[in-house]
Amino acid sequence: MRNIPSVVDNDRAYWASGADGLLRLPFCAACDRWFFPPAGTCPSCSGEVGFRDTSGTGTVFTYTVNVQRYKPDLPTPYVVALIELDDQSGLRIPANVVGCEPDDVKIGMRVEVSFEPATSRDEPDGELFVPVFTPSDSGTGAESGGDRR
Amino acid sequence: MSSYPEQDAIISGIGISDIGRKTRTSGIDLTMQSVRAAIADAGLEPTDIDAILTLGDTPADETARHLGIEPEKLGGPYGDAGLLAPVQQAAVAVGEQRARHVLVYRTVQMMGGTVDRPKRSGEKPRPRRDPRPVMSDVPYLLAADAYSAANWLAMHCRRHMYEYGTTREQLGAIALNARTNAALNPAAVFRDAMTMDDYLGARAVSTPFGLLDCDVPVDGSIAVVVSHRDHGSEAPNPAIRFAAIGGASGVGGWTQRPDYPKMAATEAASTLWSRTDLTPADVDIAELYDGFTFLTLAWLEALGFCGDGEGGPFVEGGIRIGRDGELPLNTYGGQLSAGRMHGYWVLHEACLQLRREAGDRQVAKPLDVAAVSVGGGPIAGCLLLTR
Repeated sequence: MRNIPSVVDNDRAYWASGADGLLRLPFCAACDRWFFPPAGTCPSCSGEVGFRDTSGTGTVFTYTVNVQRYKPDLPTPYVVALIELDDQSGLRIPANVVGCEPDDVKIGMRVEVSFEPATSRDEPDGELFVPVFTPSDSGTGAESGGDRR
Repeated sequence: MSSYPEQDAIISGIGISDIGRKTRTSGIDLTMQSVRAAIADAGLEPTDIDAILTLGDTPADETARHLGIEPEKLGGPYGDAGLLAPVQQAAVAVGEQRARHVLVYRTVQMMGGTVDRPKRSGEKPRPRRDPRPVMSDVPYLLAADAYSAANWLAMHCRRHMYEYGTTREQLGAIALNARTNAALNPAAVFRDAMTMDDYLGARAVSTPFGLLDCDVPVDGSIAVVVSHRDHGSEAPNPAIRFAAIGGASGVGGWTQRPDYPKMAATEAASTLWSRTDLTPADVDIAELYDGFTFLTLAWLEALGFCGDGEGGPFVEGGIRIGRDGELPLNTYGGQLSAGRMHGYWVLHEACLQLRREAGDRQVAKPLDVAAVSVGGGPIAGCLLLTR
């Protein structure tokens, strides 16, 4: 079971979005854009914020294989990455890449979301999930995540 | 009056405590060593100090009590410089004549290697969220088990390697340069020779960072006295002037900058250069933050010593950044080898070198301008110092 250090009003929908297998991110209808991290108002126009489904597919924008043991009960090594979602250029979320050897992860690798059940002391009864990403063979929709400038 | 308030301020005194690993010396004892040394170095008595600024361990009121003084409260307008904020606030306050002598110090003590603290019964929960916008993406990094700045900055480093072809050996040149300089610094904690094989063979921490990409936690305290420049003629030691200061508010946090892997250093450097006629070509020596090797590389680029993505070739082989090179870098051994004084040893060393008091490691060429930078990710501050 994963742990979410804190759940607040602004991001409850993000942590709950795994219940139906869809990754939802904060979205400003006025700007017609997703943004991250979640916030009470749109960082661009200060307008009202909702949550909107994403495709849940993307590319590895950057990553690290963590080897250091920061918690005694957390096995290492594991991959931490920034995933750039196909839905919008520059839309990135931090997440683990699982389902492959850590050394096989590369920048530009195609991935798709899945969810691991989680708990949080802020929401002891909540149905919460941490989004993770697994390698996928799906098309090459993303440009900016993998393109070398 | 000068164009910017910091230009009427000087560093009139510097002081450093014993530095060591697990010294079992209390924070206040370390602090008293550094602050008494800095006050004496400035030719002052504790009662001359108008205000004390610090951050982190060993609060200012405790230090004031031990010095037997009751300084004024001093709030500065310049809060965006991260670890250097107290120095910049002091310089601005002195320049605006809100104080004449301000004592600034940083005291650090080694911390454990785990995030979870043992909970004491009845302990109140800590605030759930850091209110600072620059930290707004941290909860999501933590949920991905990315607990350390090593993880967060390793991702910047990996992207830099991808975009520009930066290599481990190039990062290693920064670590080796630090160790070479530390060998000549009696206060540095790691002074034994290091080879590139040692560097490349060190155990991985968070790829591409290995152990020797990471700085060394120590106990210690460093202090400076920031005075109005008209004290310079009375002070026993050469005055070090602030040519410019820069800081950044950290838009984009740790993960969201459109120009990732750039960091707040970019804006801090831009502010710095906007406040002076000096240019990167005028800088004789650079003391740049190296909490991780990659941060020094990033600061070299941000401050304009080389172009975007050119940091790797700039440091490769270490000749250019050696003590006899065109831009001597981290001449005291850096946080990588001398010890993690959270940005205050770079400041101390810049002053020492400009005063030509750096002993065996004194850079031989004339030194008029030093660049000092501190921070990584969305936290950045920098100084341009002159004799």
